[in-house]
Amino acid sequence: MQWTAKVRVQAGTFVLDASIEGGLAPVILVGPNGSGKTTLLRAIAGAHAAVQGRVEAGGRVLSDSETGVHLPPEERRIGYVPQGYGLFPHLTVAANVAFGLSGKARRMPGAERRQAVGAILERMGCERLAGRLPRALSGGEQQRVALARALVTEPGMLLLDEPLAALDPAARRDMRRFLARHLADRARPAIVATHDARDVYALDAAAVYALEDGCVSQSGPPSALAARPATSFVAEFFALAPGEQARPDDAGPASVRAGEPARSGP
Amino acid sequence: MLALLAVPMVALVTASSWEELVRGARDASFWPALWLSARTTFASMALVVLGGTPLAWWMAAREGRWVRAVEMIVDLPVVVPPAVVGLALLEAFGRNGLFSPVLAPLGLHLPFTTAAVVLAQVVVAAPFYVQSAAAAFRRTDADLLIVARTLGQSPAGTFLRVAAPLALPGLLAGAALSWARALGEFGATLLFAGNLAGSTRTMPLAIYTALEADTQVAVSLALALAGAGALLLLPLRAVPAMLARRFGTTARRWHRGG
Repeated sequence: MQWTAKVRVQAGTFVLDASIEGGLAPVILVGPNGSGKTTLLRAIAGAHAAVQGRVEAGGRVLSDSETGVHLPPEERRIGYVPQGYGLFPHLTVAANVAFGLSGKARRMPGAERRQAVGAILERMGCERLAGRLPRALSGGEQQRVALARALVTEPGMLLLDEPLAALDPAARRDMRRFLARHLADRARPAIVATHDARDVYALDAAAVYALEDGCVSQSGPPSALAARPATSFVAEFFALAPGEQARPDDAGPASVRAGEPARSGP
Repeated sequence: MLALLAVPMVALVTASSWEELVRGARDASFWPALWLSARTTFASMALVVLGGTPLAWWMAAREGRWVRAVEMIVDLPVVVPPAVVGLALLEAFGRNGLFSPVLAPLGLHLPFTTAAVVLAQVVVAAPFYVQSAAAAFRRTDADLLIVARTLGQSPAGTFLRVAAPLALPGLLAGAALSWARALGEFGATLLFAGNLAGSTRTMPLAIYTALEADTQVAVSLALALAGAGALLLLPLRAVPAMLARRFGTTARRWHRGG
């Protein structure tokens, strides 16, 4: 399954103009704060009404400004986990996860819904959290619940905005392994925005896109960017990952990969 | 300052004995005025919430010149004295008013009717609700609304299941303030709806009328109104704090704009 997103959004004086694409293996977005990572993810999710360009996933056109197609977010089948996880603070963990199974797009009868929620919470290792409110969870637990909530609707694509940024180092290591495992065995495209080069290797990314000032400054397989960084930002980004690429256990099990560029690594 | 705020209320409470209060409440003007105030403020609150919520949602979702212009229009009845609002309503909906060519053929005659009381209350009270609701909607995290949509909710479903519950403390605080303002409405009502027993004489007008005949009845009416106001402090302060505790946000956050 392939996807492409060619997006131009203007928000005040900021202009995002980026073109990215990928297959089943995760694609990583890196860039300084304010470079447009979140805007790009939101545009792909369908949250920006005034967006130029074309977004296509698995042969389905999600938006195309030339033909006037613009599917609303609820029809795109895209899972979006924002920075800070975006859990609904007034709903319990179970109700948060069940939320996507009660909407217009994907309604399920009550018993079936409870079963689906129970199953995904168990798979994510958070079944004991079902009755709690989000504020009673740790950062790592919130991230797992947010991921469960996104995955339970079986989205065609997953967008994660800095999934590890708010975690302490130990939780971050756990969560990185957890994410790598789940992204690999779900065999669905994912775009992950991150500030940490270790994520690039751990998630076995097919490609890295560096966004700077709303434009793609460099893109390609991680090894190519690490070996020949085109900008000082990319150079610094990869310099901050001392030897991480040499640890295969961090990368998780081999993932289903379809014709993407050669695997990263030394 | 605190004393200045509290002393008049204390004086009002100590101005009469229990027996005198009961006598005042038995006065012929008491119950009709109370019942009229209850009916009209209930109707005006329904209109304010039904019309004000979509307006507040619209104001919160956008920014720019148009929103600022709309905000100024919404603020207008707060800064314009009630008597001026009453006169303006007469000029708009009165016998020779701006809308008389439309209203007269339909047989609609607004001034000095109960409908005029409701209309005056809506105009003076709506800004408090709309401002508070817009502030509450602006505080909701945009990401939560996007997530709700990606999880399959329509815009209406997102509003009902995410935006409205999260803004509820602000909506309640705004509605309470707005209700208090409608309940106390005097000037605009007097000019636009008059002071007719049974149809336009609400509690504040009944106090004013009773003061000329029997001070004791006025005090009874005033205490009933003050009691209703005190009850409104509950949704204004306690409920938002309670909800905020439940959701894990600080109570202080909800009070801005409330």
